[in-house]
Amino acid sequence: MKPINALDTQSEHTELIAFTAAYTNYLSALKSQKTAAAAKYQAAQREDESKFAKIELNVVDIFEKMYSASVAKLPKEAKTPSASHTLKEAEWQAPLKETYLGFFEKIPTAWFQNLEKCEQFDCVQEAHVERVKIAQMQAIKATFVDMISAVEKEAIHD
Amino acid sequence: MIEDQVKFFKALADASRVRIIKSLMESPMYVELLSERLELAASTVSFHLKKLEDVGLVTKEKDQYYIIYSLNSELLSKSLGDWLKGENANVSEEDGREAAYRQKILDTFFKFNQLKSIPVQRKKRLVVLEHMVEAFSKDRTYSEKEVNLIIADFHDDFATLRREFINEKLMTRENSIYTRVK
Repeated sequence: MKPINALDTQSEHTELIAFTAAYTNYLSALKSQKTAAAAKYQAAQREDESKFAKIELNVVDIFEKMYSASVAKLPKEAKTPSASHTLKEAEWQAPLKETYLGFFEKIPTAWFQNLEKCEQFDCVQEAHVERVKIAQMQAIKATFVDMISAVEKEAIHD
Repeated sequence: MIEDQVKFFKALADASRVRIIKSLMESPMYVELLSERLELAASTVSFHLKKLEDVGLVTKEKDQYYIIYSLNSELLSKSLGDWLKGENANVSEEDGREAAYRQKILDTFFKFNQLKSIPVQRKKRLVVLEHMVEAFSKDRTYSEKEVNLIIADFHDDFATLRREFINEKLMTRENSIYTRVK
């Protein structure tokens, strides 16, 4: 395994910081978009759609907080690589993916269960709310996976 | 019933639903077509249609692969005055309030037809028991095991609920055979 002292140790920090900045920018933009949509629908007297936009905003909020928690949970060596650490130990992508993507499995479990029940009991309106939450969660997850995959690919090419 | 009338106006008080009604005034349509015309997600259109259906403004009919939604023209042709006077003149205000009260209790204590908790207050408990006893046929008898199984579909504490059916005279028990009171 390649020792980390063969690399610029600072680059590991920079990469994580840059990724976090890009990803949180995406989430912030998404939040602004949902806030604007909720206001637009409200002004257009589309109360229910305004409510859905607020639900989507809440979902973005949840996964933004979970991202911060995932970064905080990263092993020390992944956040602050030192000369004694191997490259593998200094990798932040894998532990970040494991922790953060874990929230995408855990949090929506109840949403999926509710959706199943709503469909079973023909609760169309409640089912729609669960679908809105699930669709927003999946969109955030897909973007995260795309963004981190791009970073991983770059790392391989480097 | 005033509650129903309020629900009706609430269903109308949304720009997207008014647009759906206007589209359906042209001709009956299926969800995907409405979704395309109004530039709304199909699931959002279904949500709105359900609200309109609940207040009787829209009806649906299955046509091969699609469910076609139509406006209830009979309801729409009524004058607002006639409608506000109430079409169910035989339903008294008191009956309406009682029905709304019972529905509220059922909505509070049941989720997905599961009893969340047994109401402590007798009046509420009776409403819940009267709803549950509907799961039993009046035309046959049940063994205790069968009664337990049916109650267990609603709540785990079948012993308490079974006793309550007897206490409230909703069922009778003779030699461990249960019968729903007619």
